[in-house]
Amino acid sequence: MMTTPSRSANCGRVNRRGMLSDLGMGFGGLALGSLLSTDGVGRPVQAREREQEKRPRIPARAKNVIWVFLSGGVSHLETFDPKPLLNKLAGKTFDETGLANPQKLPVYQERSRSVVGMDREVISTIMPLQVGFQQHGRNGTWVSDWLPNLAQVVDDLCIVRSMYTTDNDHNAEFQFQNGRHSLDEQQPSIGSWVSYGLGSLNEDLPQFVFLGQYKDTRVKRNFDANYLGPQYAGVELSLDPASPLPYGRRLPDVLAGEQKAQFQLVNEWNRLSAHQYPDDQQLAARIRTYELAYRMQMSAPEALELARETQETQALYGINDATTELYGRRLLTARRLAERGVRYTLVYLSDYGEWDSHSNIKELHSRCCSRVDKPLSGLIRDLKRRGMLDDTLVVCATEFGRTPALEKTSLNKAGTGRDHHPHGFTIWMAGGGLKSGYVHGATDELGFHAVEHPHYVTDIHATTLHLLGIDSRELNIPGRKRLEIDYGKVIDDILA
Amino acid sequence: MSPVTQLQRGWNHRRKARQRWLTLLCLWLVVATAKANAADYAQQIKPLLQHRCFACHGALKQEAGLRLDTVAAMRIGGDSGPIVEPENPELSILLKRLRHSDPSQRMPPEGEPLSDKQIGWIESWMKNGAEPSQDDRPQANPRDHWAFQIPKQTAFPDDPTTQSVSLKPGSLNPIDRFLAAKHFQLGIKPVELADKQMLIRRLFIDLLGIPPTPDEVCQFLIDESPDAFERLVEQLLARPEYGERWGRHWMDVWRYSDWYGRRAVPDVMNSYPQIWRWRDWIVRSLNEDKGYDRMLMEMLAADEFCPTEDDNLVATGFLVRNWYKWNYETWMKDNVEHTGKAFLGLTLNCAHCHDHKYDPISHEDYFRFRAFFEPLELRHDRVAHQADPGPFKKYVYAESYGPMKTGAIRVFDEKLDAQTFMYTGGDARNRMEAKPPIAPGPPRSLCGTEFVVEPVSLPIDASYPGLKESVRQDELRQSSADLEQAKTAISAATAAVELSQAKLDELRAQATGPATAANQPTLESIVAADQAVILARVSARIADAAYSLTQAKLDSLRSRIAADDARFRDIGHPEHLAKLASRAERHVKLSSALHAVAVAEKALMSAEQKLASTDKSDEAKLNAVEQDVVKVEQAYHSARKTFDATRTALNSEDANYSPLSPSYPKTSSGRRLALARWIASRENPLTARVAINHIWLRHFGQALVETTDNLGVQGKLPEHPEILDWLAVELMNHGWSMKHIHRIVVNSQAYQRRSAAREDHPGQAIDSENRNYWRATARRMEAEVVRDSVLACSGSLDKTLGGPEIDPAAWHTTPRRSLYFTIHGESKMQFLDTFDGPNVCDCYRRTSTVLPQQALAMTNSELSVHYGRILAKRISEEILPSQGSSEGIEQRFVSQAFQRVINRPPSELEMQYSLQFLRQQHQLLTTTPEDQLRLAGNKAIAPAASELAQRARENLTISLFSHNDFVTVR
Repeated sequence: MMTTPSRSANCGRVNRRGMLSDLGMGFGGLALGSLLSTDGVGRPVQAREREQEKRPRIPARAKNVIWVFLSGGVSHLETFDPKPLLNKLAGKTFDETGLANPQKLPVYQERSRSVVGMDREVISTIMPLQVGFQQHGRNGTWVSDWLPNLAQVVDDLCIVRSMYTTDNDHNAEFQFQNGRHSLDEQQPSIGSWVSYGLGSLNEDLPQFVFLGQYKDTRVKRNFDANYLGPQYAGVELSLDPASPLPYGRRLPDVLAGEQKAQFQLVNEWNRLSAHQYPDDQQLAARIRTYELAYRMQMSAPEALELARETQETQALYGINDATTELYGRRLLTARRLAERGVRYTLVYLSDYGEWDSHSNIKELHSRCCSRVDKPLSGLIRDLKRRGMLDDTLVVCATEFGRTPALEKTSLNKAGTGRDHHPHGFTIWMAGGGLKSGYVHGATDELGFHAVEHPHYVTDIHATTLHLLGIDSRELNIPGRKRLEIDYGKVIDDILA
Repeated sequence: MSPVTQLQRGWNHRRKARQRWLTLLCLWLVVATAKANAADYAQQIKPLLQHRCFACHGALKQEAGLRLDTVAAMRIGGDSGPIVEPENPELSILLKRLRHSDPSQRMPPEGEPLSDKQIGWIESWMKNGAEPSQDDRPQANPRDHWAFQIPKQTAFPDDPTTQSVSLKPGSLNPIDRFLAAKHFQLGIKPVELADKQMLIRRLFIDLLGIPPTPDEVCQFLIDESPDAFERLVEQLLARPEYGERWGRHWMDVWRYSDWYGRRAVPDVMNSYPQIWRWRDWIVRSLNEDKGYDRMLMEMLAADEFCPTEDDNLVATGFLVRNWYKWNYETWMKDNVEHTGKAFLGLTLNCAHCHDHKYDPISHEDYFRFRAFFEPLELRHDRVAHQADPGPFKKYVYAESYGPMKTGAIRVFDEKLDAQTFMYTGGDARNRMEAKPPIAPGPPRSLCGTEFVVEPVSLPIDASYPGLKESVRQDELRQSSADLEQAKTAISAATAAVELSQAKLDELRAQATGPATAANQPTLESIVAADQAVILARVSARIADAAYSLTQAKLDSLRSRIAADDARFRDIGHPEHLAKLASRAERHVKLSSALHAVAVAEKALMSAEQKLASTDKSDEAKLNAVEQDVVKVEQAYHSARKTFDATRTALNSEDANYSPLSPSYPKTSSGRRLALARWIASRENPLTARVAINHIWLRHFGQALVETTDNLGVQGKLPEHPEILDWLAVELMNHGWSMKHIHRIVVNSQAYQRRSAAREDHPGQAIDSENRNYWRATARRMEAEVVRDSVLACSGSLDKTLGGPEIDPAAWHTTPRRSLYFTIHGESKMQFLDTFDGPNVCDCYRRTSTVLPQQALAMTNSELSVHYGRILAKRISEEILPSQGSSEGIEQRFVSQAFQRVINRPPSELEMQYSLQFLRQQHQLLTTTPEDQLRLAGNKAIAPAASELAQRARENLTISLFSHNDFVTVR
């Protein structure tokens, strides 16, 4: 956004009569964040231009995205990518396996880059799988015994077992959302690109919502819009219907009637100004935002009113169980938001770093699994039975996997966990135009490197955008250089 | 939209137009059909080659001796001969390389290969004879780019007063003189000047970042002298708020950030604690009107330029801000990129991985520039009257460091011979081993003469700050205070001995006196009292020892200072005084050991007393206590041994003593000083232009060069180069005084015009974007101005200048200006963020949006609601004592509220709506049950008024902050 408001006046120039008729009255189809951006060209204008150009458009398969993130690094080996060989080779080092040592392959250095100006301690003694696996669904997909509920819906999932990323530390979390290693120039998060690239489905709610809690403020980088500007950033909604969004509630000593009259007075004053300054687009936009604000304040609490859901639905998400209650609430809220037209909801289904199991992986991972298994499977079932899975894309991601070797280093002598593993890991997606009951890609026999169809994180972005009907290469801002890796490549093989 | 998209759109457009034209042509020129189907060189091929190939095969570079910017050049070809073969396109090297299946051979080497369609254009064009267009000029040499030529003040256009369509006779303002000529050319008559009411608000917000008070407006309105405005400008430029307002602007450009990383831990990773001193330096320097050249020199190299000026060393916060604990390469990278963007308007960062594609900056130039910063390290400095922050701690893997709470942070050259090595792919692991280390220097094509770097020898108290008087005084003060405290402790211990003795005496007296059942003390109580006396006496000995220790410390400090004076300042005999200082320190050790013995002795006595009183039948307990006794006995003996050792050591001839501070290199590399001098030189064509462009942008809301961080070839062309250059030279001619430039700008008519224009004004059609400043531009206040103005309008703004960062949690309870609140890469005040507050990592210009969240913030935030109430209270207190009907009072209230919040009286209709609102609100409140009215948040800094008429008025003032004319600067 490099141009100034003054420039704006022209670009999306509205004739006077047209605009006055807009004032104070309803108007449809505008993205929430784009009433008037700096250049005056809201994205709807761009959409119009695109329309005029008659560019070929990708047919949209999905309308909404529910993007779940499990922070800390989920072991692919103990969830969806079991490697029985590890049990046989347990206790041996990679050099002793008779296979090529994955840490000595060139790809090992090429793909990972340490933030700290020194490499992490290399660990190489193989650790056996910490959990059993069974085959499930019509295609006999392997799922960990820690995920009994997800196993039941595996026929609706599309599992990508060949992800890799390039940061071996937790900044990889933000990398998964914005596509760049933290040592490189940071980019807008995928959610903000979605919100930038698509119009609104419901102007009474934000387009890009973040649901979750965190102590570490770096988590905000997951929904930062960077150079797209704050109007495309995720809006944090709290699960409390009484106070859902920032400034979204009257102060306790203000009556509803008092405030309603204030909104009216402001509207009257500003309409007077609009007569005085008919070509002031900012003013016209501001009048609209006050109406929208009033409506948002009214409709946001309703969207969060989980009590309106049946007991059965709540139970489906595990809300009736203390272990799963919190995350169940987040996912049910996400479904309600998608239902109401929120384009993109980032659900933080963990605390920051919750899955980071450097020691006691057995205990930690089984606990983490038990907290998300029921809610996630509930989400899939619920979306499916409501017919929403057809046009809602669910992504369940993590920043990296965990090492096939056990972690025993000078700093951590326990030897009961697995370290960070960017070289190969698993994420899954569901719905919105994807194949179901499908497994794509593979890691090597040791679960080390992504070898078959390796995908960098932005391939998930490109695929998501593609399913929403956007070519990632169309998303550009003048003066901001995007690289090849930012655009990513659509994973054609998983498209239905 | 990407350049590609724009390009394609341009083609589409032009192609369509062309096709229409061709259709007509074909009707009467059938022969031409074959050619018309061929791809068009000028419209399709040249733009494609320009976009994908010119960077390496054009004016800037000729890889393989080849240029592709004209057909003539292509026909000549490069090292492998001609590349265009009209007769035999299959043989064309150009087509072969474009289609090569081996990515290492295929051109272009980066990015997606050209599409079959695009290659098809080239092939068909070649088949048709590879004709050039009529006007096939070579690419311009980037070295001739306008911004790389030294700016000159051009003569004003001829006598603007006679031809003026825009200028008041007699105006000699350079901006107006240049613009008048433009207006004349375009046939635009600019709109009239804004009225004084509008002007004063615009000027206050522009220069101070807060609106004027009604009194200030009034004074200006009644001042009818012709120079009233000029005098107002002077008054405002002299106010401290000017530095805060413009300081925040420059904080955007210079990327001010408080420390971040993992605040929750806390763990400092990016930027650094105490960096707020750099922010205060910015504010102070602006208020002093320090030259821009001097400011940038201090920011880049104060440690070399003015190494003993503590107040200015903090300016290097500009470099500290880029520090990144985990990765030194990142620190270097950000220093290069942001020094380039902030001061030079150059995208040096584009040359990190390869030669710059557009500007004459080579890959090697990037590393030359980096070499300026290569010796850098951080350093903690002490600040007078504050505790020593201790030395800077280097990062150790997996360790976290909390923020330093006192002192100052700055840079220094630690590794004087640090070498810079080139690497590829932007990844320091890929070092180009064959390349020798790169010497520091600016991009070669921008520094004509030989570039010289000379080491700077530093004053002794810069390399050894322990010599500073402030450090000595702080140490002496602390030491003396410790001594006083020890003295007090002795009195207390003596009193305790006397008290315990008196108690014992009393018990004894009772025991030997006439016995009554009531007052006969037990034997145990006498024994206990006796033990208490013994312990009190030992405690008194400890206090004595502690006193001796503090005294020894003070003596030693004095000795060390004397020895330092001898060693560094030639006062007294260095060897002798060093020996004395050394001995004094050993004496401290001795006293310390003696103190330890006393402490151990007391522990031993306590343990023995405890043993004596332990129930002998409880074997387990007895064992435990006995073991304790053994332990403390050992400790006691060990303390004695230490004491003996220190006593023996006392007589050593050693002359080593502890310095009062860490020492740093005595010289600095001089690299950054050389860089700063080069940037701040009059010969540098970019520096003053970049500064003027930033200043202009913030006065007018639009820049002269739209790409404020890029004046290079890919940047936008300047809108009014003659004004930009005139002001740039003017800045340099006037000691780089920014206030001088503000004066010229705000006194121009261009600045003072109305922002609104009639719909039928010719300017609307001729220059609808107002690129020629025929009117002013209405703008929304920046985030900080919104918040500060709410506070200011309510009379609550705390004008205290400077100080440590303030927790944003106090954003509405601490009415300080917004620039003082914590802001960093991970978090900022939500209210500011809602109104497009700066991105601390990259903010060479701000965005300005209109969002529903802003409306919610103005409606529901504690800021607007509470300070709206405070404002209502103030107005009511002012007007209520006056006489009049209740309607009259309400009218006066509304009128006052408007004047305070939007600096003008309400219009008739606004007044009517407002009074109606007050009546309705009053009606609503009087019919609301009492219990509902009292739902006040009791923690509110300003709960709703209990008097209902006042509460209605409050709701009006709160709403006024949502009036478009509050956030809008017209």
